[in-house]
Amino acid sequence: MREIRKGVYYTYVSSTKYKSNLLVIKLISPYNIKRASIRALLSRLFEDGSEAIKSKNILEKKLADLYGATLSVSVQRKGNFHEFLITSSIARPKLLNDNIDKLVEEWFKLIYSILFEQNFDQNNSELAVSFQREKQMLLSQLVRDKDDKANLVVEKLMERLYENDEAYYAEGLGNEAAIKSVTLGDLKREYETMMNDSLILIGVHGEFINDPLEQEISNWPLPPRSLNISYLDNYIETKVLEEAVTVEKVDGQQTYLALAYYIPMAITLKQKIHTQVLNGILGSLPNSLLFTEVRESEGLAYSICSSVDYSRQLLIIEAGIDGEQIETVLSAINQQFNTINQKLLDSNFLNEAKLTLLSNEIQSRDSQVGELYLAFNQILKPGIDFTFENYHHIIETLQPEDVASLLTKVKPSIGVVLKGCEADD
Amino acid sequence: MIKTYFADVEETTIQIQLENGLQVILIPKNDYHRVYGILTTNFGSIDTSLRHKKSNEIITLPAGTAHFLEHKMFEGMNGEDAFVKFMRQGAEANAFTTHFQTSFLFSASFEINKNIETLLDFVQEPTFSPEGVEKEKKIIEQELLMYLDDPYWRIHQLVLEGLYPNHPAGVDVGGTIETVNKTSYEDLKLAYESFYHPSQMCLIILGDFDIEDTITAITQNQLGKVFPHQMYERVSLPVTEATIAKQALFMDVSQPLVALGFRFKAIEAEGEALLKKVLEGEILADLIFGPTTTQNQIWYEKEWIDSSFDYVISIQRTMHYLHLSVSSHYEKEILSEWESVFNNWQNSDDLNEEHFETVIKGKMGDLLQMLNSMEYTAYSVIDSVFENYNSFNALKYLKEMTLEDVIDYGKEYWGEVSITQAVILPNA
Repeated sequence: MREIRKGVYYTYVSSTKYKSNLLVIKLISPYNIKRASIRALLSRLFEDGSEAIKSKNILEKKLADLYGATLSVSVQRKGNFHEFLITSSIARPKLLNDNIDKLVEEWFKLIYSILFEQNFDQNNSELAVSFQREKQMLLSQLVRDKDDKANLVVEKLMERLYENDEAYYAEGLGNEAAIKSVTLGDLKREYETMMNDSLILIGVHGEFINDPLEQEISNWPLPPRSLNISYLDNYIETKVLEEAVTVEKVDGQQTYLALAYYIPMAITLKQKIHTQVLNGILGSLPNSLLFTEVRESEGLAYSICSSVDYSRQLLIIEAGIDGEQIETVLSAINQQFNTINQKLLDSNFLNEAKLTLLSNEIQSRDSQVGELYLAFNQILKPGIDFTFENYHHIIETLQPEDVASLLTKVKPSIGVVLKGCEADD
Repeated sequence: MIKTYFADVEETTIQIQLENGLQVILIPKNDYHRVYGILTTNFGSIDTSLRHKKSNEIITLPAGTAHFLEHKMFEGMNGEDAFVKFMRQGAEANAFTTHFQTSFLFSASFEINKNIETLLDFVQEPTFSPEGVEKEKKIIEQELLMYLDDPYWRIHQLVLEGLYPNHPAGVDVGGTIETVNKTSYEDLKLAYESFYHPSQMCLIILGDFDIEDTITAITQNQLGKVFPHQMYERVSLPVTEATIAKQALFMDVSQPLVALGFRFKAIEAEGEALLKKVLEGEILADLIFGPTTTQNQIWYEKEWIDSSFDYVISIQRTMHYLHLSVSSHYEKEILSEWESVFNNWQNSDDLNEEHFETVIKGKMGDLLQMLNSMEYTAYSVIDSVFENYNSFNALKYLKEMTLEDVIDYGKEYWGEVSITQAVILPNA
């Protein structure tokens, strides 16, 4: 990536592999709940248009006229940082037999307008109306996310892991109290902070003639900034709690389970890949122990899997189970941890998992966004070699002892079970 | 072997029909690093009624049989299932069932021909057992319960129940816990023998592979395989019952979910004519209910709809319907508004040439961008194989389409309509 101004990076990947041209802009700042909520509101207002694009409907029409160009503005938490993400794609103009230069020009004009032609002035009466509406809708969305019990059980697990200290577990939208407290003044201030102080990564992928975009983007009103952000040590402190599983009743048909396990901090790519292999064997691959033993052999669950939260040093197991089988499932899950060492004696077992992870890694490179994110990693995780060759080398040289050694450091933490019951129970 | 290049979308297909009837379509994408293979039978949850070809005896399979069979196809000898076989070759496998089809698939970067052979072998040489069938019931029950807790799935299912009462189209693809528990090993065997003959199936391979080698591997694999003679054929059940006017249920949700379904008469067009009708239907739905309509903005500003608003038009065998849904505190207002807009679609301000051109352009770009996805490309080709059209012609038809074509479609199908309303309300 090239630093076009201090703290503003740009990359262009020339390609005709996909049917689309893609633009991704990431604005990254340190995370706090209030900021997350304000930026979540900003993302919704961006999707409503700009000073020149007066409504969501006009924006939708403009996008459709650009042959179904897409625009999505979203937010997410990444450890101790908050990412404001603008993603836009357009069908490759050469495929459309239309005026290529004009289409790209119009597309860029639209992105420019969304980014820079915002009026968050308190005297803007139209803004006041849409601000209240978006606030209300964002609050509804936050509450609605809890309707999904599979989300809810993980949220409750996080609440308990961090003893209700939301600074540790609130996500990209912030929280209800913060959203409610946002004012028009907050919006204006945060918009200015975001545009002037965030680390900005801009990536363009696709087919353009003579890369005219760099000049265009260089002219964007983005001043130099001094913020230094690295994801190399982007870890959230995790409190160690005594192992315990709590059961809570919820109105629903199924019972949902989420269990947390502490895992060692994975800083280098090698440490991350070792953790990935352990997770694959345990519960993320289709021939994992959780899938083959707990689901297929024992018939105790339809969905059961494990995942790793690297920034929190946690391995999390989630499952949808029969409420009458809670103890049996917990015992079957524990049993799988005891089985891993035995399974590692069979070299085929580990080799198959390694081969599948290698294949998944290759396949993950067939993504336009993924290709840009690999470039972004040069800035966010400097010094790490993300080439496929390096991934291949690390996974090839991984030995059963590496996994066994990692396993000894995995410690159970707490778990939450939401037991499905009829409303009247 | 028929090789066709579609310049509009820069795609090539190689189509072969093997002697046993299996249709094979290869779509090379040499820029990609992976290969996606999908083997599909033209048998879905709607196919519950079978007729014996000689005696004309009618047999009814329990609802959810196609889905149950999909689960059991993975059961291998000595407890080793097909997932494990694929993993040995660095591939991930999966499967899914719809109202009309059952598909088995893998995604891989190595051992491509071996993975294709594994896909063909595990589907064409099933080893499921009566004990395995009994054990699977518990797993499928958990799957069904999971869906019952999903309010968006529930509202969609309520709409289908309302549109197609007492018809397999109105029943969940997985059936019910009761029908799953009634399903026997013999039911699955009968369904397999009736619907998994290669002449009812298609194999699609997309990605980076050697065309000649792949054709040889597939042809060799099929040589010498013997398939049971098909004794039964599907009976398409007519939709006869009136729609259910209103349904409501209570769930643990934070705000009401509302939906409106419109059932249209079946489309009789076939082949390329069917593809044109599908596109006309989709464009009409976009013109009247899509995000570029003036109505949409008004509803949004009134907070009657938000980003959860969705509309789906289905134009398939038996199931020709439009489904609108949203999570909203204004359930009465939005339901009444949707019905009114639908009933007056011919007078809509959005039904004009300028808007039509915008919607067509948007649709063309959507189609192109969706072809970035191997999965989307494969699914659209599967539909086209069974319905005898070529999905890559869609862009060409969109360019040729006129507003009159779309209005004609509307006059023919949106005039005769049956409606159902569904609401999920928060528990008191």
